[in-house]
Amino acid sequence: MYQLFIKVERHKCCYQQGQIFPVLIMIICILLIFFMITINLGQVAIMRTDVSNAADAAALAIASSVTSGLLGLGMTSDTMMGYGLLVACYMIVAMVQNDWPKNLIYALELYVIGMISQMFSFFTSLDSSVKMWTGAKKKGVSYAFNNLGVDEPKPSFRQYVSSACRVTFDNLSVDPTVPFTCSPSIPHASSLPATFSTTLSDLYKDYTQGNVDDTTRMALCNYYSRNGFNKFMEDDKGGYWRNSEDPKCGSHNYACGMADEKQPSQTTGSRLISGYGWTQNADKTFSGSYVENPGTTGSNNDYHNNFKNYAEVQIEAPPFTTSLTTLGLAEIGWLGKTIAIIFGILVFIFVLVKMLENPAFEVWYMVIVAVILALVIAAISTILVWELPVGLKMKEKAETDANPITVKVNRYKAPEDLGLWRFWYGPKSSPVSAVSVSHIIRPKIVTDSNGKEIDAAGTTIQPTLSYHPAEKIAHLIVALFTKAIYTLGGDPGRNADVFEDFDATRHLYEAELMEVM
Amino acid sequence: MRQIARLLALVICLLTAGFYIAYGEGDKIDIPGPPQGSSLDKGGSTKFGGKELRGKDYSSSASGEEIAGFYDYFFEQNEFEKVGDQNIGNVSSAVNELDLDAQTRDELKKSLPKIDIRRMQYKKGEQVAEVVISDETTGSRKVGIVQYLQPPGTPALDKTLPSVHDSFVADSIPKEDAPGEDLQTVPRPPKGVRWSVTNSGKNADVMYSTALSPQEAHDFYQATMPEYGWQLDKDASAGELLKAYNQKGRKLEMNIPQIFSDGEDLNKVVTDSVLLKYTNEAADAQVLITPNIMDKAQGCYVRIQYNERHNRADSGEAQ
Repeated sequence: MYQLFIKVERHKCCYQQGQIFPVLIMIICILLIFFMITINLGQVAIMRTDVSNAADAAALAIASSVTSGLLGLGMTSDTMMGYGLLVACYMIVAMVQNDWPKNLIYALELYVIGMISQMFSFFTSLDSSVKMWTGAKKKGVSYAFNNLGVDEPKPSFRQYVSSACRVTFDNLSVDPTVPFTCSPSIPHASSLPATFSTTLSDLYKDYTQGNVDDTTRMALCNYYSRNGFNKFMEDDKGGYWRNSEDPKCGSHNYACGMADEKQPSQTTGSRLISGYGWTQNADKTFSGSYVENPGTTGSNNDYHNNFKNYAEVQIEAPPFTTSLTTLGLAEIGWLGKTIAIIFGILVFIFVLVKMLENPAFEVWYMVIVAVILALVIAAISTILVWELPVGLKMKEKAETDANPITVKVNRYKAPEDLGLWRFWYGPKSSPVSAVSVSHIIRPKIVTDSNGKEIDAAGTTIQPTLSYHPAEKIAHLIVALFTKAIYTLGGDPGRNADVFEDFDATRHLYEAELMEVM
Repeated sequence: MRQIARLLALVICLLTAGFYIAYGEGDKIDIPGPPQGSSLDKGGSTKFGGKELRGKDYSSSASGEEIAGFYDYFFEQNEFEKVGDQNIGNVSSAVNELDLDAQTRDELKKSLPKIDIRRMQYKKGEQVAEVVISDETTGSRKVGIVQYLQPPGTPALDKTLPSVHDSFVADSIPKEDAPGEDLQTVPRPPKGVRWSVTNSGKNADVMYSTALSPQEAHDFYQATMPEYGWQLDKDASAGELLKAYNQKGRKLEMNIPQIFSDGEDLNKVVTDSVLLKYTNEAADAQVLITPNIMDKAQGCYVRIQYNERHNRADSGEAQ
C-alpha cells in the first residue's frame, strides 16, 4: 500500500485526472472493513467483560453469603456451649438439692432434656447449613445472570397482540379505540375466559405498564409481553433456579433452569448448571429455552445451548454439610476436659455429703459404701458431661481454604447478532467464557509449637470460649451456676449474662476472590 | 490300696480344715475397738452388691495417727497384709492432676469443701478388714471397722457395683406421696407416687414414679393432655434423634457406665426417654418420661415442669 502511494505521488503528473478514484474507493472499503471488524471485536470485548463481571459477582456473592451463614452457625455453637454448660450446672445443683437416689434420677433427667435440646439445635443447624449453601448458590446464579448483559429483545406490540388474542394484527382497525374480540390463550392455563372485548389502546397500556386490575389481561401481559429471559429470572422454582421438589422439573430433562443440578438438599457433588438460550425466528418472534407452565409431562426437550444465543452459569462448591457435626465438651481442648473433671469432683463431694445425710448411712462404717457410690456417680456424671454435645464443628480446611468455589460463565451470541456483519468467532461449543474462583478464608489461624493448626483457636464455628482469659471462664461458670440455682429454685426468669463471655468475632470468616481466568 | 485311700481322705480333710481355719468364715477375727475408744452400739451387717459387710462403730479421743498405728500393729500381729491407706473424700490429689497453673489450682483447692476420711485396708486370704477414721469433730473421732470376704476371682469392694436390692437403695425409694400438691392443670400419672414438688409462684416442678411403662405413660399424656386444654408442641425421643444423627454418616455414641450391677442399662434409659412439650394460652408444660433406672419392669419416672408465661401487664412492661 505504501509503495502504491509512493508510485502515485512520483508519477501523478503523468496520470489523467480521476485516476485516484479507484484507489480512494479501495481505501474506503478497507477502512470500512476495519471499522466493521472494530465494531464486531468491540462487541466481543464487551461480551467478554460482561462475562467476566458476571463470574466475579457470582463467585463473591456465594462466598460472602456463606460467611454470613458461618457466622450464624458459630453463634448457634456458642449457644449450644452455654446451654451445655448450664445443663452440667443444673445437674450439680440437682445433686445438691435432692436426696439420694432422687438426685441421681434428677440429674439423669436433666441430661436427657439437655441431650434432646442439643440434638434439636444440631438438626436445626444442619438444615440451616444446607439452606445456607443452597441459598448462596442461588444468589450466585442470580448475580451471574443479572450481570451478564443478556440482551434478548422484548416481543413487539404486534407480536404481543397477535399471540395474546390470537388475531391477525393487520386485520385490526387502525383506530386504537375500536373494540375487538380477543380470544386469550396461555398454555396449561384453564381459568381464562373464551373471549373478551378489548381495544388496542388498552392492550398497549398493558404492554408498556403492565396490568394489576384485570386477572385475564394481567396473565396475558405476564406471559406474552415479556421476553423469555425475564420470565426465566423471575421463576426460582422452574427458571434460573430449579426446585427439585417441583414435579415439573423432577425427572424430566427439559430446560427449566438447572439442567444438571444436583438436588439442593443433596450435599455432595455440588456442581450445578443453569442456562437460558434463545433464537430469533424467521417471523421475527423469539423462542427461548424457558418454558413457562410446561405441564406435568413436559414437551420441550431443548437445552439452552441448542439455541442460537445462550448464557450459562456453572457453579462448583464444596460439599459443605457432610462434615458438620456436633462437638463434645472433651473435644474443645484442656478447658473442656478441665470443666468435665471439675464437674466430676463437685459431683463426688456433693453426692458424698448428701449420702452421709441419708438415714441409710447413719452407721459410720457405711461411709465406705457412700464413697464407692459417690465415685461411681461422679464417674458417670463426668462421662455424661464429657459426651454432651456442646457445639458444632466442621472440617475447617476441607470446607473453606482448601475447597474453592468455582464459577464458570459461558455466553454465546449468534454471528448475526454480534455487530455489523455476520462475524463468526467460534463454534457454540467454544463460547466466550470466564472463570472466577473464590473461597472463604479464616483470617485468624493459630498454630501450635509444631506448626499444626489448632482449629478451635482461630476463626471457627466452634464455640469460642477456649483460649480466653481465666477470669472470663470463671465469670461464665459463676453465671451459669447462678442461673442453675435460680432456675431449679423455681425462678427461671432470672437470667445470667452468659454470652458476654463468648467472642463472636472469631466466627467472622472472610470472602476472597482468588483468581480469575 | 484301702490304706492309701484312707490316707488321701485324711490329707484332704486336713487340708480343707486348714484352709477353712486359715482363710474361711470360721476365722473371723475379733477386732478390738480403737485406743481411748468406746462403742457407739451401732453396727451389724448390710449387703453391698452381693457382698455381706459386717461392721461396728466406735468413738475415740485418740489422734488419727495413734488409731492408725494401733490397727497397723494389730493386723500385723494377726498376719494381715496392709493393702491400702488413703484419704478418701480429700479431692486435693484429684485437683493436682488437673492441667492448671499453680495459682488456679490452689484457689480451686481452697474453694472445695474438705471431707477428710482416712481409710486403711488389710487383707489375709479371702478376709478383708477396713478401718475408717473420721476427721476430728468436737474432740473425738468416729472409727468404723468393717469385715467382709473377697474370694479369689471376685472384684474388690471398690470395683463392686451396688445392687438395686441393697437396702440403702431400696429403702430410699419413696413409697408414699411426698408432701405438697399435684398440679391442677396437668394430670398425675395413674399408679403414681409423688416424689417431690417444687412450687414457686408461676412455676412448678413435680416428679412421680409410676408403675406404667414408658410407652403407657407416653400414651396416657398424649391422650389426656388435650382434655386439659394443652396442645402438643414437641414429641421427641433422645433415641430417635440419635438414630437420625447417626444415619447421616456421623457417629455419636453414648457410653455411659452402669451404676447398679443388676439395674437397667443407662444408655438405654437415656435413649428410651421421651420429652413431650405442651403449650396453651397461658403456660408451657414439659413432660419427661424416663424408664426406671433400677428395673424398667417397675415402670418409669414422670417429671412435669410447668411454667406460666410472664404477663407483660403483670411485670409492668406494658407501658
